[in-house]
Amino acid sequence: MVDEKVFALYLEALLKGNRSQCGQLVDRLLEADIDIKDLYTGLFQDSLYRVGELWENNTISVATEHVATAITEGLLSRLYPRIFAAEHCGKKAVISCVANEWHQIGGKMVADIFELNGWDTDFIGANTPVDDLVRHIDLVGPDVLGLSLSLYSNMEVLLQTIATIRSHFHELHIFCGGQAFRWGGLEKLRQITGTEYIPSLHVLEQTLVN
Amino acid sequence: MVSAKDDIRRSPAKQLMEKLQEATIGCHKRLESLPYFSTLIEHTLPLTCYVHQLQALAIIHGVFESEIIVAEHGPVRRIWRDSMKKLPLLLEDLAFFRPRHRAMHSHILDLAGDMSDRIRRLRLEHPPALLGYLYVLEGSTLGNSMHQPDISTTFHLPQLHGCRYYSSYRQQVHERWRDFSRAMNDTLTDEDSHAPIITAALEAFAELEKIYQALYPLRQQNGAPNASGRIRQINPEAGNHPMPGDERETAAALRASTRVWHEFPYYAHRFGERGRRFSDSDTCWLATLSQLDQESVNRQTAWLSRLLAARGMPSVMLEHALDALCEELTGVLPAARSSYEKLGTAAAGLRAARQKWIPQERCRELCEKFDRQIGTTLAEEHKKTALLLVSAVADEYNGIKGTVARLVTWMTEKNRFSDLFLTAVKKTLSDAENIADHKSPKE
Repeated sequence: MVDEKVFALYLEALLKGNRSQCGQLVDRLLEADIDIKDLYTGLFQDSLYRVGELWENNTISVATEHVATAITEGLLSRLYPRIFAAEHCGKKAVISCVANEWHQIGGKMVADIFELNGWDTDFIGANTPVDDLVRHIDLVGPDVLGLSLSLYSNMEVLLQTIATIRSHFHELHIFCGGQAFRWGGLEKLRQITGTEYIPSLHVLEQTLVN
Repeated sequence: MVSAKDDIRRSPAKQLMEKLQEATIGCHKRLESLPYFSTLIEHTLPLTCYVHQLQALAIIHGVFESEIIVAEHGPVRRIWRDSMKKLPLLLEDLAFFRPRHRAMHSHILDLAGDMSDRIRRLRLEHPPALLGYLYVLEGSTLGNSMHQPDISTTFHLPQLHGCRYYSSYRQQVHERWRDFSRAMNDTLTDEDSHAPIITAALEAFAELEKIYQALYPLRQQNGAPNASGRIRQINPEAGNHPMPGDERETAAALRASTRVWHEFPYYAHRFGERGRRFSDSDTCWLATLSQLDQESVNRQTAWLSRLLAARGMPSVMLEHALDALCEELTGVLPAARSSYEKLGTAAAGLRAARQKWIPQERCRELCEKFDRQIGTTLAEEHKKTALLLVSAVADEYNGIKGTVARLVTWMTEKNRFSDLFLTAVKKTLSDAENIADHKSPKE
C-alpha cells in the first residue's frame, strides 16, 4: 500500500512537473519492496485520476496534465524489467484506445497489469481506427480485448467499436474501463454479451488472478 | 561563452542543422519541383488550389501548435516560441478569401488530417521528434518569402492581404532562421538525439509532398469530406469528434452558435476568435447528440456543462445553445423534430438545475437591476452579464466548484471595466448568493 503522506508528496511533485522527485519517491517505495501492483493502483492510477479531476475542474491546465502524464509514462518504463520478467501463462491480450481517443496512459497501465500476470500483451495505443483493430485481433487471436476510454464524449465511438468487433469476433471477451465511465455508459455496455466493465486496475488484477 | 575545449569537442561532429539540411535537401528539391510550385512561379496557379493549400496548412499548424506547447520535453520547450505560430496568419488569409472560397477538398482534408494525426502521435510517443516537423515548418518561411511576390501578382492581392502566411517574419525571415538554427544546434548537442529528429523531418517532407501533389492538378472530388475533415474545416484545432451527417444540420448548428455568440457578448470579449471556432465545432458535436437516447443526451450535456462552467462559461450558455440548436435543427428538418427535441429537453434539465437555486422571477429581477445600475449603453455592450453571474452562482451550488471565481476574476479586472460596472457585478453576485443560500432546492 502507498502511505497517504507519500501519495500527497508524489502528487504535489507530479503537479509541479518535478520528475526527479517523483522518481525518488518511486525508488524509495521500490527499495521498501512495495508490490508493483500496489504501485500501479495506489500511486500511478490514483494520482492520474486526481490529475484528471483537476483538469476537468480547470484547476490545472492541459499543459500540467500532459506533463504529469509524461512523467508517469517515464516512471512506468523504469519498471518494465520487472514487469516483463513475469512467468508467461500462455494467454494473450490486445489493449487499445478507440478512434479519437488520445489518452493512452490508462491503456498502457492495463497492458502492464496483464503482463505482470503473465499474459502476452499487445498495446496498440491511442486513436486506433476500428478497421485496424479488427485486423490486429485477426492477426493475434487474443483471449481478451481491452478498450480504454477517458473522455465521455467518445462513449458512442466506444459502443460502435464494440459492435463492429462483436460482428467479427462473436466469442471474444471484451474488457472496458477508464475515467469516462464515471459519467455513464455502463447500462449500454452491460447489454452487450461478453463485455465486462473493469472499474480499476485493482479489479483487473483480481479478475486476472481468479 | 564557448570554450576552446568545447570547440575541439564539437568540431569533428556535424551539428544538427547541418545534418538536417543534408538529409532533407533531396526532399526539398523534390517538393519545389512539383507542378504546384512551377505553376505558381508561372503565375498560372488557380486560386482554389492556393486556398486549399491555406486550409490544409491551417489544419496542420492548428494541431502542431497546440501539441508542441504541451510537449513534455526540455529542448522542445526551449526552442519553441509562441512567435513561431502561423495559424493566426493562415486564418487571416482564409478570412480574406472566405466570401468566395469556403468549401474544402475532401482528399486534401484527409491528407492534412493524416499529417495532423502523425503529429499528435509523435507528441505522445516521442516529443523531441516534433522538432523535425518544426524544422520543416520553420524552413518553409524561407521559401515562402521567395514565393510571396508570385502569390500577390497571381491573385492580384492588395498589399499583404491574403498572403500574410507567405510573408510571415517579413524582413526578419533570415534573421529568424539564424536564431532558430542557433537554438537547435545549441540545445541539441547530444548526437544520439539527432536521428529521430531527422527521421521526423523526412516524414514531414513526405507528408507535405503528398499534399502538394494533390493540390495541383486538383482531382475531381470523390464525395464529401468525412467527419474529421468537416470538423477541421470549421476549427483546425478541434479534435476528431463526431459531426452531423447532413450538411443542413451543420449549417443549422453554425447558425445556433452564431445566435448564442451574439446573445452573450461576453463570449467574444473574453474568448475571441479562437473561442468562436470552438463554439462552432462544439455546437456541431452537440447536434450529433440528437441521435442518442434522452438519458445519454442528458449525461453528455451535463458532462460538457461542467467542463465549460469550470472554464468560465456558466451552464446557462450551454442551455441557450441547446435551445437555439433545437430550434434551428427543427426548422431545417422538421421531420426529425422528435430527435432534436431531446436537445431542448437537456436544456430544460440545465435550466431546472439552475432555477432550483435562483428561481426565474428572482433571476429576472437581478438582471433588470443590474442593467439599471450600469446604464443602457453598458447594458447593451455587456448584454446578459447578470444572467451569467446568476448562473455561475447556481452552478457553484450545484457542485461545480470554482465557477464563480472563473467568471468574476475576469469580470472584475479594473483595467477592463469601470467602477460602476464592478460595483454592479459585486452587488449582483452577493444578491444571487443570498438567494441561493436561503433557497432549499426542491428534490
